[in-house]
Amino acid sequence: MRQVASYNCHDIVRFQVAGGGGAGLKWGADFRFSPFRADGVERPDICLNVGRFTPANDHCYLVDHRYYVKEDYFYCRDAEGAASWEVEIAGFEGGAITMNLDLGRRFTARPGALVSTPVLLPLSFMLRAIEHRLGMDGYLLSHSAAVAREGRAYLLSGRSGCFKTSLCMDLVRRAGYGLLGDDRVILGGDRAWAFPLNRALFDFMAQRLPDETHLGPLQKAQFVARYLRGGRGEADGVGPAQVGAVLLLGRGQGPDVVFQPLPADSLPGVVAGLLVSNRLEAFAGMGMPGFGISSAPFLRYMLAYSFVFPRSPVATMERGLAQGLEEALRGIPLYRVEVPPRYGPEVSHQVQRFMEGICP
Amino acid sequence: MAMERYYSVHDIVTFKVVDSTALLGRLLPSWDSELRDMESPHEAEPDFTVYVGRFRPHLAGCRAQDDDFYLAEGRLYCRDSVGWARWQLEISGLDGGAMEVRIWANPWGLLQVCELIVNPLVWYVLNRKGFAVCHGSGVARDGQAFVFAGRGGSGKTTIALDLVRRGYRLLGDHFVILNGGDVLGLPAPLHLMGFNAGPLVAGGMTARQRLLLRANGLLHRATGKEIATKVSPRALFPGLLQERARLHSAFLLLPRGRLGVEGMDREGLVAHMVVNQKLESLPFTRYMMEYSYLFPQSPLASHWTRYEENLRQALDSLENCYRVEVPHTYDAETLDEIAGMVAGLAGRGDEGRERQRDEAGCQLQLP
Repeated sequence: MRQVASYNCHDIVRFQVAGGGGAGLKWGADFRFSPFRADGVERPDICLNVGRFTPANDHCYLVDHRYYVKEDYFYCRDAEGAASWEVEIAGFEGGAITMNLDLGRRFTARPGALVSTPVLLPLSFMLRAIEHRLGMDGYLLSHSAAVAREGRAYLLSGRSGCFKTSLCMDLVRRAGYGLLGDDRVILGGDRAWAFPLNRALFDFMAQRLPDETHLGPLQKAQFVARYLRGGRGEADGVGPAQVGAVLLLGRGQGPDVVFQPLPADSLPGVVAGLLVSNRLEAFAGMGMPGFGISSAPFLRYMLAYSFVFPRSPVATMERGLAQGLEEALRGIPLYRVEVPPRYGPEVSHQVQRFMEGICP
Repeated sequence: MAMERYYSVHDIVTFKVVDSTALLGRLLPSWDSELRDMESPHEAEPDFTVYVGRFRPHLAGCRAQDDDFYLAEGRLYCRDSVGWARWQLEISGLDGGAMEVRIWANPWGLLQVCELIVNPLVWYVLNRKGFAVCHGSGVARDGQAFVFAGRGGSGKTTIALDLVRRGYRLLGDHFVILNGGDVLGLPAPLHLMGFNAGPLVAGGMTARQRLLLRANGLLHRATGKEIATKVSPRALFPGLLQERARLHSAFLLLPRGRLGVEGMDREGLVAHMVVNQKLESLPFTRYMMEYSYLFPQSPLASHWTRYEENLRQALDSLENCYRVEVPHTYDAETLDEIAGMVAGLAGRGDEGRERQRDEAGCQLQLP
């Protein structure tokens, strides 16, 4: 039985996930992309089909014995860590993307992988495809948290472990900010659009837990029970907001949060940092920690494509994104923020107070 | 007892390896076969020193990143793995000056760290000194160099060995160094696989190497993975090597199915070469990115822009730039045609060479 799930993300990107063999994939996609659920979308920008397919990889350039490349087309068989797969991607030069993904049967290396890989791996590819498609249109799906108040968005950019999620939880439940995303947000020009992944989980944590570090196995089980009873996450209608400030989070050593305003000429460095952060996140396990996939497959595929077509829009996308962001963010206040190694209420108070100070 | 060895790449980059792994580590063929051709008696102040063996990471004052990375100014520590291979790496002195590199790896890791870490370090230092490493093969004749850049499976080694058989000298079959219109060989082993280990090399290989080649061939059939057998060209044909020559022509090899040549502009070649090198240095590029995310002013952060500049400078006066579509597998006829094309280029205006080219039955029309 082929299940199709459709999503519409702010009319900026529409995407569809289709797969046979059970409801797991649709269930997982609905969980991750819950705020964007739609009853069906016309002419989706991205179609992900999971299951057997016949590749159209004739007349291809062969790169490194295994990547099949021709104009606007990529195919390969790949395997890493706990998974193996066969993937075909077409239409990534700016049109509608079709991605066919067939999973191999190599899920047994790690416990639990048998159940989760067939869902998580396709969704990770989907996220990369969304990021790519947005990038081709000049939007950055930034690996940052963001909250909004009175039409202004505040970006909290930082790598994993900088307490982005904990800070969002506190800013939303204590200070009344709207959530744009606790891990991702769409940046287009000087505006930010909400991209809250796993919204139901965030809501559960914001209601029940002091911070993200308290999400243990027991809490996860409680969450699943609640989710199954119908506690699905919905968008809370936070619309696009003008970027009000960019806070670059980093882990410091001291007990206090340290705020340091950055000069205007550091903007190119800040923008480069946002882009590097995205690329590094792609290396860090495809969003599936513990699965041993650390070679950023989608990025690698686009690089192999760029080797054959180094002047294509795909190969030059990042340069364009950087230029666009530098122009759009000019004049917006930038801060470097060092958070202590441990999270506590004091950390969130200090950040909250600082944000009140810079709110107009 | 630790084993100490000095290595040098044309005295441009020198480094030292201090190996204190147990016997098992030293029996593994990777280090010796990968680095042997760079060995040098020089005891000059090396650009970096690699310590292989267990070490205690120096994490004080470091920031943790993604759980597996620890960074401080001038210092990086990380844990990484590919398949069964696992390793830990610590580099200090990243802010300039001499670097100290500490590597611990499991047996599978030991087979790969030389290629995945030491080689990219050499390229990084070369690049900092203005020399651009190109993932490609190179041959020379009468002081003129011909470079064939391409990804794995494009026939770099096959073409280079074929041309050596026809009287050219080998600069390198996997990497060459470009600088100011010169091409230098990067001393490294040949990357032999079943299909490119022709008569030129088959005779000179030791029994162990032949066995390894056969085993890797079987492994390829079973798993589909291409594993090259590393054999030093110095041992096989010491008289047919060349250290340096003037860059005469550069070819970009793209396997597609049929042989075809077209001219390309230098800028286009630079663009291809940059991506080629990025793909080749993938895990190391990640380490560089991790460091430059925190320290955007460091020389690591500007590596790729500098690489592009170095390449551009190195190719500045290059006139013969070609994009060559090649078949997926080479036959004698293809090699004849490529040899004819190269001979034709080398001897443009030289009648003797023209004749040689005609005799080779070259059908390829150079644009």
